[in-house]
Amino acid sequence: MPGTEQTQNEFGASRVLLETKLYMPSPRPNAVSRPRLIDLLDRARNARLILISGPAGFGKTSLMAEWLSAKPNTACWLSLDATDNDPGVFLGYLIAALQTVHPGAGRGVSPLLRSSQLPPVEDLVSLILNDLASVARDIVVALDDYHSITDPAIHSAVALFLERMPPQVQLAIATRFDPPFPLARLRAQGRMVEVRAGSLRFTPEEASSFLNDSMGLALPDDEVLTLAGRTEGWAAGLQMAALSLQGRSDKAAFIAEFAGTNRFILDFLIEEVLSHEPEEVRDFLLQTSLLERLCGPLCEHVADGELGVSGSEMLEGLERRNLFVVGLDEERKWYRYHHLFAEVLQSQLRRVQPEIVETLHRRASEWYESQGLADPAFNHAAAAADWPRAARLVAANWMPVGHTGRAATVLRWLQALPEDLVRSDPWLSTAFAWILWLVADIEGARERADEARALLDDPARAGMFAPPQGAVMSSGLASLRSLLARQMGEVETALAAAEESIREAPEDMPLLKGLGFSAMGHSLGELGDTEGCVDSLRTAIPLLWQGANHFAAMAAAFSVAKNERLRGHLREPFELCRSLLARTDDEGLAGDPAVGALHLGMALLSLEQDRLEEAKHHLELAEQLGRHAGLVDILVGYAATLARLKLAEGDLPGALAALGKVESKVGGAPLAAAELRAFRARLSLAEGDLDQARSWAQWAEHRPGDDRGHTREHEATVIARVRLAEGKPGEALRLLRKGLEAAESQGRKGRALEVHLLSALVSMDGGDPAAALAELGIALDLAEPEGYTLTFLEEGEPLRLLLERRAAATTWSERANRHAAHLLASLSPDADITSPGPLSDRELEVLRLIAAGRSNKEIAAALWLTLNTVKKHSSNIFSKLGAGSRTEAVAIAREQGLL
Amino acid sequence: MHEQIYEISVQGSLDEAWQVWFDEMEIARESDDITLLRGVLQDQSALHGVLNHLLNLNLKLISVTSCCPIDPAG
Repeated sequence: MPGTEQTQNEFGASRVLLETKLYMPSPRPNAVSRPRLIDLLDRARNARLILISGPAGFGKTSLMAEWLSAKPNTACWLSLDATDNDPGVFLGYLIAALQTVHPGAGRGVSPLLRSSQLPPVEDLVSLILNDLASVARDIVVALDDYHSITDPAIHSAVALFLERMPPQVQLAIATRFDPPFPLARLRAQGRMVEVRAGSLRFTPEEASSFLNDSMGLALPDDEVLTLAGRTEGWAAGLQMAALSLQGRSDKAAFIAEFAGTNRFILDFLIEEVLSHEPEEVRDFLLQTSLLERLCGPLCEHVADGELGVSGSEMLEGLERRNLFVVGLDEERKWYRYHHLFAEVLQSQLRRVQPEIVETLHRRASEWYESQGLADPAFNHAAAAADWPRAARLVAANWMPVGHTGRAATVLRWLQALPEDLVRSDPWLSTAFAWILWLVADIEGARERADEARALLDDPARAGMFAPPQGAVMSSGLASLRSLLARQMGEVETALAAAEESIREAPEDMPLLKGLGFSAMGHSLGELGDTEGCVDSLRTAIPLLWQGANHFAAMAAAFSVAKNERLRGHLREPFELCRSLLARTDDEGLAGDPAVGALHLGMALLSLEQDRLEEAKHHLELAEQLGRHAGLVDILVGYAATLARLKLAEGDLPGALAALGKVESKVGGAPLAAAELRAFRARLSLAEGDLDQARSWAQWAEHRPGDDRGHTREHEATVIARVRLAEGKPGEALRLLRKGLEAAESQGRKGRALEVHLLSALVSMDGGDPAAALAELGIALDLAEPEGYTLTFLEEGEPLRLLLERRAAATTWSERANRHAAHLLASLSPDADITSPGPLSDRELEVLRLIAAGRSNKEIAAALWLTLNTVKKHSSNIFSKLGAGSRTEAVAIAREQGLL
Repeated sequence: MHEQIYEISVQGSLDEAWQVWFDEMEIARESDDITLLRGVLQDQSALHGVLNHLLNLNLKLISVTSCCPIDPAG
């Protein structure tokens, strides 16, 4: 469950290996310099991409390192391996590498990488690129062993990086095969420089320099040529040949034999080299050949005390003699075998001692586990086919790893375990369900959660999981099931699961209790019990906070804000969000993406009070921090609030775009999708597109799902608006009355005031001003204490006209009158104009269309304005011309020669 | 996709020690300088796995051919 064991060892421990990933190999003191290739690279100043592509052992890494070592302060390095196939892991390393040359790079992204649901990779890359735009000097970003990457999400992230990186950045990639980028285009544009196998091959001169100068073999030219020819300039082959030749008296004979054999070069040469090594070295090489990385203590543990010398002495000796190993850090703590040699050594191991392979993997797994490094520990356990051990590692580590942005890693673990093992273990099935939920596979998550539940309920297994373990499992699982059911619109199931979750949660685990109450609150909200919803969420927030799941706590605070608005409260929930925000600052959570949920709550509340600038400010912060929070409620809440703000600013296209952006993201959650469509229908009415609004109403009236809940209620008010626009006030009133009953009986004063307001407008339209004023008085009375304003202003001219008649209202309370005066001041566009000025250009345009007999709706469509804006313009025109009606306005305008 | 028999020829002579790496393939000597890997591979992923392995070892690929799919019934 999110947060149970956050910030545990894994994140800190991965720092142990960080240095080895970012270490740029330093050229060996006597290495062959390759000036012809270095020149080529140096001249490539305008190239975006430097691609060094060729098979293993061609000296790609050495070449890239030699080139970059001449510009140490401007290059950063990242060595990749297969375990980096997790976008969160990859981007984390990429940022760490970039920070070595530009300390500010990706600072804003790092907290996003630790959130449980990773934002879209392209967004993260864009944020990183923004940071790089300010880099003052040229930098090279070097990715070594790029062929290790197979995850398509990472390929597209790197391709995007390449496409959009600022001109002062170059990307250098060393790989065994070409990456899936648009290479042909880059080549055609001359924006890529390639060094391929053909140029990487050692020329006879380079071979001579290597064999004679670096290795001190003193070979005559013809022998150099023979070796260069036989190895075809392959660096690894030449190196192995040189090692075989060192210390031999019969060099010529050996070269002749080598030239004559058809055997695979490496095969032949490694056997030669090994046969001259003492047995303890051979044993060491074989026993440690399975390790991706080597350090002294790890080698000793894997060899189980059978080494004659200490592991680090052995490694230092190998490096000194240029045998097989490559140093991975400055201190010479970590090494790795050259990939090719590792493969050949492993082949030897499997031939000579196949029976110890699994033992070696198991020991490596033990060592990594003791160091708190879950991923390599798991990988070696899996390679040993030690499934009980592997399963235990997953069980112990999936929460801290999965909920800190590395869900893809846990998913890989779970997929590597034997299927029947996972399916028979309720804890692993629970893990699978949570992880699938985190990667947004709702269907898969449901299936796994159901299986886990069935396992826990299985009487044959009763007692297998003693409390508290069993209780922890069933409680956590129940809150996940509740979440999933609610997203699917199965609200009763969601509520039952939430209750079960609270019941099962052990008293001393606030997190589990908090998750349960949070799930219950959300379910009650959907069932129309707004009060119960808010109560549960308020109970959940401190528990979740205590349990370190700040994400769920802040999401709950947003829901409190949303539901309190429906209940007629704006000030208190605003304070709640504000006080939590202050706590995030105190507790170092300022960069946490979940903070966006608090800003969103504050935006929603201040918007209702017509504090547009403040709402805008909070929305911008919500956008930056929490747009990707992933929860559909928050996505929809963000889109709806932004759309409302845009509409208030008279920007209808902006409002439509705000909703359009999230439409594709709520597909798996029918309830959220329905909510979004209701907002969209309201905009259709503002656009004057009655047909579309009507066809939505048709759909909404017949959509399946629960009949209670605020989504239904929201839909009912929008349907009433559609009926009003269709000229069916009677039907609209009937719908509103029905809605009012539910809203009032369940204490939703915020909803009730909207319904009264709408009823007032409908009554007015139906020719009953007395009833209209009575309804409006109730709405105003409900609205005044907390300052509900935008709901009224959105009604525009019809409301203003009704408010103008307030002298006739006899039943209004004092505060209703006060609020009316306040609203009227905002609704009168000329409120701040003392004398009628000349008509603006826009007003003249509107006036011409009025004169042409167009309706307000037609004018709105023609000028791409909202209906409200057109109404504001026309009322400006009326007051500036001193006209009381459209015909009068046109007549006066003609008189004054304006038309 | 059905299993198929694949024949992969590479330059150089691989001795039987390499058999452990190519479990599913039989290593045979085609000529002095060419080795043939022959065997049943489950699907394209398995084939790419073998090819990838050849690449990692810097073995020079000469040809890949596939024969008739294996009839599961027969």
